[in-house]
Amino acid sequence: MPLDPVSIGLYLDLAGKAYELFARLRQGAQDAGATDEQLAAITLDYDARIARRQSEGQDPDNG
Amino acid sequence: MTLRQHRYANRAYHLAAVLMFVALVWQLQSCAATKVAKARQVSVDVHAVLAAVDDAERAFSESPAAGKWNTEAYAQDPQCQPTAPQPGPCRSRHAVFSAYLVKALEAGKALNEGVRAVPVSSQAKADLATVSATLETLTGIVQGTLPPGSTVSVALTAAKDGVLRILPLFLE
Repeated sequence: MPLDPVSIGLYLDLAGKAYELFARLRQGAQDAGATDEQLAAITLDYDARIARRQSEGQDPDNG
Repeated sequence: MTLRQHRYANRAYHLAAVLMFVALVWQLQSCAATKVAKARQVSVDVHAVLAAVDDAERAFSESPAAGKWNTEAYAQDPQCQPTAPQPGPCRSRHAVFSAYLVKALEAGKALNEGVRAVPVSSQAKADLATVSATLETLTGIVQGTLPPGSTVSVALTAAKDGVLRILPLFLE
């Protein structure tokens, strides 16, 4: 059945509302878990700890 | 059915279809977002337990009580085994512990990089398994040398327990 302009407008409005919902969910997921900044800080901490251990002169295990 | 009723019925069907589609996509997005958040929290938790082990062993090795931990040759060091391709001198328990801890830290770092991607990479699960296995190896190194109540032993036990609890959740 062909859609009339009123129906098309209604569906576009629903699509817009759905997009807003998805954006809020995505933001909610980022808020619930660790942020990119936190994970980046963790990577830096790993690098520092690995470098400190390796600077003690220990060779990687070859066994 | 009149023409007006037919039009209203059509609009109702279309509206219902759109709402069902919206609900389906919303549910899928919600599930995906939850998995991403869960994976990121796993990385935070793994980093915390590995950092605790690193700090505990470092503090112990720098204490006067370390003694033989830093100096005595560790007989089970793979590097000094006769079957090794190039058998070399045995390292101290501290040196062997450091080598394996570096492996765990590198796996933890790789896991951290893996959970930053969406969707979470399959390699991230392997990295978590590597962390778990390496913690077992580290536990073997301290056994018989450090008392169960030592900070290193406590940190290792907490780390192993934590990772074992996380593993099933991460593999869902």
